[in-house]
Amino acid sequence: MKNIKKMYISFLLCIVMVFAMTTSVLSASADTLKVTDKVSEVKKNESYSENKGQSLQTAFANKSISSCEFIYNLDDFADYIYVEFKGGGYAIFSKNTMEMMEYSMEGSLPLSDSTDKYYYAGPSNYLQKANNKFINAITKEEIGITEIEAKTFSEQIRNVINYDKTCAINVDVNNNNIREVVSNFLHSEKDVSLNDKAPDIDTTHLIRPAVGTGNLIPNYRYFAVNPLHGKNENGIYGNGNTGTCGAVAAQILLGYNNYYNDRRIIENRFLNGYDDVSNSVKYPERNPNLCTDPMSMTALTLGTRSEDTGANSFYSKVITSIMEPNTSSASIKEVYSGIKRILNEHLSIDDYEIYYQFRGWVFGYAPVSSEPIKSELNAGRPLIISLSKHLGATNHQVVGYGYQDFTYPANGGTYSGYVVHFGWRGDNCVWVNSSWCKGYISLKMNHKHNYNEVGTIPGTTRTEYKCNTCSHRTDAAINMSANDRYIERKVSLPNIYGNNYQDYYVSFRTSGNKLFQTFGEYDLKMYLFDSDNKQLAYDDDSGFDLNALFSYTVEADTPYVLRVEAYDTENMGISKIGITPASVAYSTYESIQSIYNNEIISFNANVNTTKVFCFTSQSFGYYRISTVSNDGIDGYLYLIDPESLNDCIFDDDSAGNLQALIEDYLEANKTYFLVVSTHNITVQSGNLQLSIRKIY
Amino acid sequence: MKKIILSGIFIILSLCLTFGCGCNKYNAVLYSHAEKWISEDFLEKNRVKAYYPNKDYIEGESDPWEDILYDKESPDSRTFIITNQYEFAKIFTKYDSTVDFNRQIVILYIFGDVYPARDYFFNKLTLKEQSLKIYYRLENRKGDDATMPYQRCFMVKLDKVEIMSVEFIEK
Repeated sequence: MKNIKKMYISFLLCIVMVFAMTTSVLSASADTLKVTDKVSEVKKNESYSENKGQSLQTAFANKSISSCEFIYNLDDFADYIYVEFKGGGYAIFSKNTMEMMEYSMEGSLPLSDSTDKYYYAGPSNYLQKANNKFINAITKEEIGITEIEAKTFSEQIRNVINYDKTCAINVDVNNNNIREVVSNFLHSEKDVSLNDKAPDIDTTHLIRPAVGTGNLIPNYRYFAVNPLHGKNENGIYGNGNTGTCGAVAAQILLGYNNYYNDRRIIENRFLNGYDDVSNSVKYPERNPNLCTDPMSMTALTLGTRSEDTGANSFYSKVITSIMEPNTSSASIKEVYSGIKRILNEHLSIDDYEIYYQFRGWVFGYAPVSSEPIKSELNAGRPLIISLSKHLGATNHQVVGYGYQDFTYPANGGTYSGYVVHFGWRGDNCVWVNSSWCKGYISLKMNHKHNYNEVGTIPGTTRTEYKCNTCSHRTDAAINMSANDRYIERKVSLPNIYGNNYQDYYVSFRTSGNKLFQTFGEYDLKMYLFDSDNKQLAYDDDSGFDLNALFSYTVEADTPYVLRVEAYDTENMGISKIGITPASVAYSTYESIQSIYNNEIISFNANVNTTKVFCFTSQSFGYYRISTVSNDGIDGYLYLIDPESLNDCIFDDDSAGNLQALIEDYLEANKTYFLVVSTHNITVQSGNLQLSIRKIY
Repeated sequence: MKKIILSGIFIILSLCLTFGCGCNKYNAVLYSHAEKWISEDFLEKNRVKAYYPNKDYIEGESDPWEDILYDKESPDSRTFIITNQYEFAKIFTKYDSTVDFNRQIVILYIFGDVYPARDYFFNKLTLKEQSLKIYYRLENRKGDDATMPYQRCFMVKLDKVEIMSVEFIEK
């Protein structure tokens, strides 16, 4: 009888415990829902900045602080600040980052005006201690948490919160300054958006922005063309795998980086055009390494082999590198590891940097910060983004290549989000809400192209350049060697893709100041970017007429991108770029040192530099321009007509005694550009003279 | 030994009381991959918004992107209330069990799904004024596994009740 009683009591206790736990979970959820509902109501009544949405500062703009106090993590660290506002309302912040844990515009929590110590275990979980045991601060029910559990829990929470430093305050908050710090933060200009509940994804009506809109990476065209990739259909792929969205995203990301950054990533047999019977490339026009025009961008030249299975299917290879046989789905970490395996087959670990971040459950689900994602996109690098069903999307991985805000037509709410390749057929330009995203994988390739000239591309007037390390091909490379005194390139706009700009891969064998200019009749702008897409220099009209000009000190053997862009898209054509290692960093064409008719200018020619001049002929005639040296220095001379698209005129020794001579007709009132230097600028220096004389 | 067994039963009972799905009403049963039992002709005629193989696709000749096409003209979902054996047999040509239509009805729900590797389960069933609402939830799994939307079918068998409308709601 006694034993039956014991068992009955145990059963009742089980029921009570289970319901107590369930009740606490449900009540926590209910309280959380209440807070969310209030947020929704507040949203309707407030006016917001159109593009940035509701901000924390805006929400509390009209509130003044009634009280501030610390509340504690479960291991007794004062990790949180509880703030009550006059007239109602409260907020709980993380002390170190001011990340908001929960808030309400009305009411308060029973945590203040008390000498008791309160502990915080997440939204709606307010605890105290009684007899050294944690109890629910409101219901006074005991909660069985051991000391070790409390310590582990607290450390994990701190790691997550402190990692996501979207608004770190870098101030030591203590009892003396807590109120001031909170007040300053709430009235600061930092835009801290609240965790608004965005609309859920509708997979039958994906949001498709116009292609080319938004803040896109420079090479967004890769995604616009839509490279061939594996099916993410309800089927079996790889080694009996389903749910292969992570593999598709990895395939696209690796394909992009192979195409632009390092052609060693993917072998020819995994690229389109390969014939498995003959083990050779049977259709070279489908292969980016072998097609006639290196700039050919088609779904086949950009994409990779995507058969469902097969030893030479890149899609299958990616699947089997990521997923165990006969499994479904892949986590961010598994995709990250699989990508590393593939990269390590042909590259060293110094050739790339790969990183992932994933935000799991922490007092509920929350999106990963957009800051690092946008940072990658601003650096010109696409990345894999993981969406979450818990956040309103589907459990899916996509490739992001831009970001932009979107206003829902139904409710008018504006949200920030990313432009992505969704991985489904035809869905290469889709907008996803940033609040749906739980993680990402970023990949940066460290290889620097080193181009050699190959020759004229058949059927065109363009020249092919090829990297002698990875075999990347382009028609737009400028490699200034140490011996180059002056380089010219013709620019044709719009380019072959119809863009009003042309990008060049540029590198310099020697560091130092370089003078960049455009020439021709069109109004041009010019930019210089580093390999992280950071703008280093820009100009519009400082050159000859409406041409661009700037000087910039470059580093040796460092990749840059030089962009020439038409100011007026209705008025474009062929122009020229000219680059020289000028000894003076000029900022305008007019400021370049002038030389006059019948003048002889003496100067010191220094190593690795050239001397530039401008000459304005007062009248039409035949002119003689030459170098002179009393020290036996070998002179070299260039004459550039800033309006002409003809190649510049240059000379080495026509004047005799290793001196340069150019004789030509010059037009009246035109300011010509001259470059003078020693023959071998890497070693020669000394005194040179430049003279100009009208012959007749 | 008896104590251990009884304690185990008590624990299981308490768990069931707490987490029981509440779907014993109408003895409803949900089969979340019913498309395997349905005739292909019926599925073809009752498409929903999803991707389908392109019957005109020719390997090596057609645009490689056109092997699968998205049907954006079809509705988001379709629901059928089947109350007799004749209609049932026409649709469920590969179903190898029986349904007693004297005591049961069958509801077929077709929609575009993105989780082929996961099951769905009942959450709740409510019937009010001949309007049946079926709440269901997705199997919880870690990892990312969404696919392109494909045509998925639920078959719900339940006691014979008078219903004029059915709504499937995912929780």
